[in-house]
Amino acid sequence: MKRRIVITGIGAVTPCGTGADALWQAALEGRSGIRLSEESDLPTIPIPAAGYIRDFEPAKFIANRKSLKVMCRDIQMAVVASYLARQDAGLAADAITPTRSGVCIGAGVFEHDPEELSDSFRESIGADAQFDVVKFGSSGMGRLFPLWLLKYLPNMPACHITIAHNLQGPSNTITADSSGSMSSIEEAARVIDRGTADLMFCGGSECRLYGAGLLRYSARGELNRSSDASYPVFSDRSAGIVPGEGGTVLVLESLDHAAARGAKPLAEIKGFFAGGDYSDGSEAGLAERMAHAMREAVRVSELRLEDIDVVHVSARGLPAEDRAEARAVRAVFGGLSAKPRLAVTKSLTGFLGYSAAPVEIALAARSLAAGRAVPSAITGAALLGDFKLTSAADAAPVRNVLVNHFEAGLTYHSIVLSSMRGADHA
Amino acid sequence: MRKRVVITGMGAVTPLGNDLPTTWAGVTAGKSGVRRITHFDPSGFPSQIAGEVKGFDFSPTAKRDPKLAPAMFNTQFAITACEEAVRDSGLSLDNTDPLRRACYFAAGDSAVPVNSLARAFFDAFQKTPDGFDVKDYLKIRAAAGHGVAEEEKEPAATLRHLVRHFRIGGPASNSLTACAASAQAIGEASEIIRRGEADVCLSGGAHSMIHPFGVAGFCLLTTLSMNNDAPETASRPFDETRSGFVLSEGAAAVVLEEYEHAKKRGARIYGELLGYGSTADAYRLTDSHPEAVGASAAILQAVREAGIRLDQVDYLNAHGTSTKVNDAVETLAIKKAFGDHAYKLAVSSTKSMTGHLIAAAGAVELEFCLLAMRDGVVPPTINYRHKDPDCDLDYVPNEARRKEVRIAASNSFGFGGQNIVLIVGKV
Repeated sequence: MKRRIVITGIGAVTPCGTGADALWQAALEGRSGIRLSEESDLPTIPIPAAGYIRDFEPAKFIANRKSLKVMCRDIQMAVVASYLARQDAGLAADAITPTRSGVCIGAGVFEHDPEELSDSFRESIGADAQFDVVKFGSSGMGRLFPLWLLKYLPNMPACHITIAHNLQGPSNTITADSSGSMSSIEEAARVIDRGTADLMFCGGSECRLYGAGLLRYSARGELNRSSDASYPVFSDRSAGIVPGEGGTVLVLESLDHAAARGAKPLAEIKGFFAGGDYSDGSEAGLAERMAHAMREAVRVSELRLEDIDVVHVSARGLPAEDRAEARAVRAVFGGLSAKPRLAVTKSLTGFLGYSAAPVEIALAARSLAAGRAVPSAITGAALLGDFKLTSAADAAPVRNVLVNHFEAGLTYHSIVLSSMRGADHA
Repeated sequence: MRKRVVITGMGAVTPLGNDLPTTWAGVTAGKSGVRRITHFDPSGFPSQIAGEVKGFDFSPTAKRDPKLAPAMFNTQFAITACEEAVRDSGLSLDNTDPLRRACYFAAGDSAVPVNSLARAFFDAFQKTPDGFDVKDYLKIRAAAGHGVAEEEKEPAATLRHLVRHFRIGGPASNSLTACAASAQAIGEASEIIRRGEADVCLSGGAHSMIHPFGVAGFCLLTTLSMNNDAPETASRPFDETRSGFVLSEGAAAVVLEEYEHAKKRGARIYGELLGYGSTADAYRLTDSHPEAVGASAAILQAVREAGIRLDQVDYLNAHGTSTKVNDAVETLAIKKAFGDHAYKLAVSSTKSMTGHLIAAAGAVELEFCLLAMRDGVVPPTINYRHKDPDCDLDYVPNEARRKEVRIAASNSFGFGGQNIVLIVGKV
């Protein structure tokens, strides 16, 4: 990095509650936000449990009712998270220089609300009881509300966020499954690093429990169908994803900008690696790519592997992916006499898709600010027996943390965050 | 030293041709690729015309790479354009390091599988004749196994295919900022190279929204041209009688390369990416800012970054959608940014011929800028008949013009307020 870049605010709407403090408290107490499914939850596919957010109240944060109406749930969560992040960063209205501030959000094409489409389909039943596209065009379409398209465009979270906070710098949206929001954080850092902006909102949101999102997980055979609310990850019991919903937005600033306004940064972004998965798909192939990501992230951060105190594993409960990551962690760190501790946290919230990576980074940043590791929440036996897991009793220092976000078949990301506690930097 | 980024390969699939040379021949000849919609029966819709890709056959590619068999248009167009661009660049995927290869694309979503969706609704209606029980609908969809189609229609699916097919080991990303997406992808791709994260980056965009829900969505926003009787003259940017844009589909792909890397392998260089401007209006969801604040700022940002004088820009490929608001506001943006030079600059909207490729628009228009430099030919704005007092620049009306182009700029603005400007120059 040419400039020093810091995280100064976290906005999180997760199954563990609203706000970064709620997420952090849940993590400290090992309190999972995953709940058994209820009749009223309406997931697309009958799943035993998920990280539901049942008390989400966007109107508390978004004053403009008209704009609330053109936001689907995912957009609402991203926008609420942006308000929370701004609050957490202590950014007063006049602290944002519009042309020097931007946004980069990870988001996919949002799921249509079936209730909203049903009338237009009812109008489009042809004589043969088949879909009649001519009728759809002449009368079915008219049953949709005029701004319908805008409710589902992936770049709408970013758009609403630019309007909400008057951000006139770059506005980008990255559509790359859960990796997209990790990319959004990296890109926000790149934008600040090259001097295009001093402050960026980044992160992502996803609420795919109710629409086709679950169909996709299911088609890939990735859902955990076990019948309780536990979510084993990085474990001998890993058996698939327990999905969840959430929106998480971070405020990134150049250190100079943060210092000038008297903000207290949570952590510094030292460096990262992002790479495509061009492996052959074998466990060894995946592990090799993942190991490369970790080594490169540490190298570009100008640190030694020994400097890493904690590795936040990506592990989301997909057995082959989890095993490959374990293998990669061993390949990179196994030879060290003082190995990093491993933080395993996905089981707290469920796998939040576009919100997963920002939650992991939020936890790592809070941990660096607090000077204590995030306790791991694990079910079953951890995959790497010779590495220590972080725990509530963990009092060892946390100065440099490596956060992984791996999605086999797509991209591998590792990012290094460091503590702002200057004196502790040995 | 700031690393220099050059373009060494290009490819395209557009309504004017299934490769870039055919497309370029079409635009310089002033041809329109817009016709009546054939993908479905459009007769019920207010707008029934589009720029469809014609005579496109993906099966040979899917035969070579069977994992592409379920791919939809977003991926099919993207892979085809990227293969052309890589071939054109002379770059060997086998003899270069995958870890030094990035991909920053702008794939859009593909068609909503409307017939299977309708089936699920109709079956749910059967169960609850007087209403709609969403639970029935969800159960039916789950049982019908709609997952694979849902997977493939996602833009992320295109990125997965690109990463696998072209063995990308460097950064891989996909921007989807509506009509600005592929210009933004190319801009960010260049930054990845400048940072030294990769030597080569495959970039561009691909999109197809010519399906009932895509057309419906834009019809509801009343942004499409309804000149159904005269498809070829429907897209008329900057003309006083313009009445909306024409939805198109396709892809455009470029190979971006670090200059020294390209020079070392003796690559043919189309031009250098000199400047990239990126701003947001922070104004409204669809309307551009009436004072063109963000758009003019993006132009100035790109010029500043390019380290050139405003009057060095010879040609500007406008966003020029053919909507009332865009073309007037864009004209204002050009005047605000360029001052007097705005009137000396050749400005054209190739959307008059290609229609609006949405996420792929910016990339194909940047290619036109590079080819204008190569051939010394500026493509025209066709269907320009009536002067609009709000649009008083030199729009290169109706016929291509011989003109030496050393530096060209391309504007791309999107729903959601993103303003992207790219500037290219001869090396």
